[in-house]
Amino acid sequence: MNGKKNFYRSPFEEAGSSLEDVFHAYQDEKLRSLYFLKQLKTVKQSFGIGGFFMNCEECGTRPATLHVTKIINGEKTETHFCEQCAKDKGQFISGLGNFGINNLLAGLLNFDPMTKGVNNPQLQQSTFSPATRCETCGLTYAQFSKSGRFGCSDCYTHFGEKLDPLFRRIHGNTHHMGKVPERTGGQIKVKKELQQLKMALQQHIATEEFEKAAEIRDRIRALEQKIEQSK
Amino acid sequence: MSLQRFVEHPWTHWMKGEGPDSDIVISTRLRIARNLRHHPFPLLATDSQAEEVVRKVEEVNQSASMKKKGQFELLRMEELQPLEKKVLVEKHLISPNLAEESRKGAVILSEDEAISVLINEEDHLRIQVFLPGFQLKEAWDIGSKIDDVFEKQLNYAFDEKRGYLTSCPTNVGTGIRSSIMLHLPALVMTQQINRILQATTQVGLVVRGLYGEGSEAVGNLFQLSNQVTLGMSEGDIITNLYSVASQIIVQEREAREYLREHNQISLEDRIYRSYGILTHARTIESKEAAQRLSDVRLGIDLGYFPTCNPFVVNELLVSTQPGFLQYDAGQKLTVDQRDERRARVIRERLISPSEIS
Ligand SMILES: [Zn+2]
Ligand SMILES: [Zn+2]
Repeated sequence: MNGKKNFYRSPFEEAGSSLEDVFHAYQDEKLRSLYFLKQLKTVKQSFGIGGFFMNCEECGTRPATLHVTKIINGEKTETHFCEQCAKDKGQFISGLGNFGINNLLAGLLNFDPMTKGVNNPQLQQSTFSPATRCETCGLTYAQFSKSGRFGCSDCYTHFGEKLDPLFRRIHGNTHHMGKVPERTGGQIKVKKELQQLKMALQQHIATEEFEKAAEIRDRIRALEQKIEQSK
Repeated sequence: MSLQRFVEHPWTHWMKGEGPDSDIVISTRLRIARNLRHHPFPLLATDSQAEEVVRKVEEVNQSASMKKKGQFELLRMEELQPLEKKVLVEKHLISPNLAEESRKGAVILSEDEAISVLINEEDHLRIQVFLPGFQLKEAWDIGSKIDDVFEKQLNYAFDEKRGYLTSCPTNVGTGIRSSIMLHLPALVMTQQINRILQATTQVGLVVRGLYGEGSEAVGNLFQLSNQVTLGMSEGDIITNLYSVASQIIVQEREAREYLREHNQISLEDRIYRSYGILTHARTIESKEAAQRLSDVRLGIDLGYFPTCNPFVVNELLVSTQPGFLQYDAGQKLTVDQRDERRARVIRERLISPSEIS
């Protein structure tokens, strides 16, 4: 117990696995998009996982505190470093430089299946030119992939479905499932309900529950009338 | 109501030390990102375009339907002193980004500081709700109602397929980030924290430290939040966070029981030693202060200090931060002066009035 560093240490902590070490892996929200989750496992399952102590892949001696999962073109790779080696590599810890979410997003965009002509420039050209531009704010796709930020809400329209792979990577999804604005989203609300009802109708027909199917068919008709009237 | 009120007192709504599971969950925060249609996002906007957004939002703030929700005040970043902004950041009422980097940035604060609406940060609007204890659903209910008030009078950028459109693709869809601040000393002491943090990242959640200077995290405080915003409903996002957090709470309680049964003397020694130091030290660094306050907080939760209120520790988390210490002193302080002042503030607050008299 000499020197300031060891001045305060929990009696239960072993050297090298202090809270601070652990934190370097998690503290920076900018790193969050490194953790891609294909699927939400049940909480119980995950908490059933045993101890998670492993050594650094680089030096093999210090405990690994930074765990990075990357999914590139569907290939999942996991790397584990101690804080020191991660710093030496200067690769992950964003506090060390200007490596931030922008770089991460840029990385994603470059590995996008739509643009994966990394080895095939022709393919890249034909599917999604970096010159694609938002007509409202003027932001190009190339600029977007550098900054990781949209310029205006119309960028979403102009870049269109080509953004699907990016959203799939970040969120595991491409479609909004949540709240719809009360005032301006009236039609959308009805349309969404209609969609759900039509799916339910198909299901009931498939399972030969015709009474329920008839009931849903009536509700669909009522909604369709409502849409007609409001036009 | 005035600016003074917001910056003079370290006390703010989220640190009340009450609410469900407040022995472990210190506070709940929910943020809703919204943007206006036909206005470039703040990063690309010119000064006059950004000013236009502030003007439109202020109009809603002055409207009758907003008045029904309580008393709100709009503060413009350009009209605040650097130390005043720092205090608002330390109370978590505004983000460092809004304070330092925004152009035409502003915030609308509710009288009790439970609601803050950030204007021209990364998105045009960021509605934040901050509650004490474990109150995720309550926070969403409050935030969603404020959202409705704005939506009635502003044209939101909303897309049928992508939902609420945001500047950063990581926020699109629901635009919500819900998070809770957890105090997990026993899981750290029993070295289970690695395993648990690892597991949380596997269920779509993010954990980060709190009040660390630079990259440091101190005081056994962890902020747990959702990262997926697209393809899940708000209810599912909140339920997911709720169920993971509930598991962590159970594990922290079990770890506390375990320590009490198997390491009683070391545990008590640690807690009372920290109490002794905090009530007698003449100078203390912020990192050590946060660690020892964590010990005392645990002691309070375990019933060792019946006269001490957890609220006091929550408040000290803010009032011992550099910005607040300096605001309170009315001048810039050197590191040594801050350490000295920090020790005094803690001493005075921890030794309760009854013990003095
Ligand atoms: Zn290493
Ligand atoms: Zn645009």
